[in-house]
Amino acid sequence: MKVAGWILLLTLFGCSLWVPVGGKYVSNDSFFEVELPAGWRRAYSTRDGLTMTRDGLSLQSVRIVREPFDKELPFTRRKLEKNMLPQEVAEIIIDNFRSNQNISNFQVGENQPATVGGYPGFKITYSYQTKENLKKQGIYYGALIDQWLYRVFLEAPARHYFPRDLSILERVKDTFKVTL
Amino acid sequence: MRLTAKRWLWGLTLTILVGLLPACASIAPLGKAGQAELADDEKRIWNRSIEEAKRLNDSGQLYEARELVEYVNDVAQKLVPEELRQRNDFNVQVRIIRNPLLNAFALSHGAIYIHTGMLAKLENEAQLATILAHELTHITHRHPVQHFRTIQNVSTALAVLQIAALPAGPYGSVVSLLGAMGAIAAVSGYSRSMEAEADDNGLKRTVQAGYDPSEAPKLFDYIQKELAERKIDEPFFFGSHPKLQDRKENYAELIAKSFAGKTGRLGKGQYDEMISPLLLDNAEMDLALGRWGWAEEAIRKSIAIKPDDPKGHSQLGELLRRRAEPGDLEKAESNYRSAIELDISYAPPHRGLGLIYLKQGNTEKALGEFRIYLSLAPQAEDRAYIEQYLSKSRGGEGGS
Repeated sequence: MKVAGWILLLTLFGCSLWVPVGGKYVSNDSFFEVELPAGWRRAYSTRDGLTMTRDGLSLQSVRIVREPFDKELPFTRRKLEKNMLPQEVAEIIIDNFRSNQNISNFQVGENQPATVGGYPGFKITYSYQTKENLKKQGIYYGALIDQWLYRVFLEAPARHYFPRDLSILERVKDTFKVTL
Repeated sequence: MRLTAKRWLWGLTLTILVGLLPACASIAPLGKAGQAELADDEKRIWNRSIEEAKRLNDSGQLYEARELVEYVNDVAQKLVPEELRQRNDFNVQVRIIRNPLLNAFALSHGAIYIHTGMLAKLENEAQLATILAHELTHITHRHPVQHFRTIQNVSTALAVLQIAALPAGPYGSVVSLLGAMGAIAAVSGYSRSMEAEADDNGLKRTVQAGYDPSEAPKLFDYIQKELAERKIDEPFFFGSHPKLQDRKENYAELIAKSFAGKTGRLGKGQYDEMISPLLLDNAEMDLALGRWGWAEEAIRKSIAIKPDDPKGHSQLGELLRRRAEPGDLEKAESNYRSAIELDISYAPPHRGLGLIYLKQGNTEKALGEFRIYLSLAPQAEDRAYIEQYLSKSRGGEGGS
């Protein structure tokens, strides 16, 4: 009885952590707005920006994150500087991936200029293998805007999920606007 | 109460000692007469090692420079005892892992792995032989099986705990591909006595193969200096800092006792020749990590070995441009220019110069370099950025 109660509580609590999305989404914390697709759910907490998924985070995640440009990157000691060219920022983001010892076979597909939220930025497509030997693909848009690194990205298993959800990420990125 | 606790402590100590006794029984090295057959548990360990090695070999993490791999294997073969060469089921094979951290480890069936970072640090063939002979001794003296028997005798749970608690962080994906065998060999290591045995026997083999024994402590000096500067990512081969000091002293004692005045082959020329391309590849990994000092040292070593190769000068320019500390950009420009003087058809330094001039607001010079860059490397990965700079200039927006 006690166990069932806990399961019910956790289920209800768990459900409330994710909320359905669709249509315009405005982030007053991270100063952006974006059109989100129907049928997806976003994490209730928006402390680190927006995280959304359709089938679960292990199957795909689309994230929009704003962080101070001088925040330390998790894997490389290289640092972003405010006056960096998008190409230089992309180089450091790639170096950060390359320095992540928890993944293997990191490969860059594309690295090119892109407009992100109306600002000059970059687009990186990449792939890697997880510790569980799962091949994942990602697409990462980023731009240094004022004091912030904005990034809009999708990561999903290379088979099925990434190709299927790529167009969603592109639509999200095309409607993404920074409202600083 | 105090007496009861004392008795209990004595009881526990005795139980552990009794449990450890069978495990402490020394096992004859592989290949000795009458000891050629593997015990059942050792066969299982070998099979597990073979599986783990296969996973690692297929992972795409190996550094596949054929000539260098052959060379490292040639050095290893000189260290294999004659009696082991006769065994059909035993074959020492060295592979190089693309990883800038300092490490080397061996699996029981004869596979030895050495990181590119470790090879980049070594100064000559004698030092390489010292490391390979140490790892080879772990194999020939059957340390993996001895280690597993010990931990199984104390408690199976302890083994599980040990694996779970491995500080695999910096070795991440390498360790995750390995199982228990590789994790112990690559990260947690063997007992102090086994490491001492590997040092002792390894040094004897190094000398027997004709190498200069005095290179071993030099290697420790060198690494110790690096560790003091870095303080993190300690190489497992040398263990923790106090262990490093112990082992350095152990090598010095061994040399004084058994090989005083003994000289031998250094093999510096050939080592330098073989290692030169790896130095730049490994430096690129250090650059990605932001380990400027390590990268700079390797690049300068490469330039010293091959002063006429534009790649080293260009990569030093890259390091200085990316680091961008006061005075770095001027030095970067000078290094890019040196690379161009050595080979006018080498594209990367033109890109570097273009980026420096662009950041400095010297658009005209920047675009000139970018045009040369694209003409020399029309398929450049960053072509889209360069074309954007060029098209902006055509639109009159400038590039900075």
